[in-house]
Amino acid sequence: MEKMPVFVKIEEYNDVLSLMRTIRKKLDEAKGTLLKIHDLKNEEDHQLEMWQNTLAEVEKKIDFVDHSLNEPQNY
Amino acid sequence: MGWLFGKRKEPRIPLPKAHEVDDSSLRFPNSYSKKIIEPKKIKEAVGFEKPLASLEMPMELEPVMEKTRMPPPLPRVGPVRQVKTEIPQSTKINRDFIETPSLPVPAQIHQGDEHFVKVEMYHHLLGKLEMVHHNIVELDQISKKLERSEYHEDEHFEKMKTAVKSLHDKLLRVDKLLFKG
Repeated sequence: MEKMPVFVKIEEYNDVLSLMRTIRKKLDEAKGTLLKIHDLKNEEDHQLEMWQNTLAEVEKKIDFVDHSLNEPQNY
Repeated sequence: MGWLFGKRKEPRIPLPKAHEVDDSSLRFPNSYSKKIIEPKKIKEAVGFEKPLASLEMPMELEPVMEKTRMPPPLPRVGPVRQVKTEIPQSTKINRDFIETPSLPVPAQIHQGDEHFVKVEMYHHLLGKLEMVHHNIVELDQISKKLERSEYHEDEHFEKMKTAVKSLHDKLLRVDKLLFKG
């Protein structure tokens, strides 16, 4: 005997569809927010790199001043 | 008195001769032994082995069949006209209710406001929703980790800002001391 298909009745089908539309909108919003966070993180990384370079420059200058003060005969 | 005690006359009709009787028929049946009816005895009782002559077709029918003659051919009356017979509406078959097992059954059925989903599809949807639930729990855990990481990042950033401020103050002091005079 062939297997007969069995169906399940879905109550409040239209509400489920409406909720699915809302979920899809929220998902799109979350994707947009994640893209923004990614951009901000890239910008942050760039600023941190600049800060690191500036600190290295400051360190060089401090070293120069320090050497100048400690060993003035070399200059 | 001679007629009373005279010689005995033998009867003209012969009496049936006694035949030997099997003793087993006189015995009581043994309650412990099961009565086994063999198929051979059943066949004999039913008469299975007898030829079924009475059920066979009588041979007299054949000549009767031969005697029947074919009717003479009908005269030709031109091309046969096709007559369309209209089936009344009440006797027409509703094809929606005819089973068509070869056609695929749809996964969803909409009947007015009621919606039905095939059980296999329903189970599939439930499985997918369970997986989505797991993913959301995972995202929540990642979010908490990021918050903690951001907190530590902010803490380190504040420390670095304090250190740079202190460095700046010290440099200003050195500057003052060096260029005092």
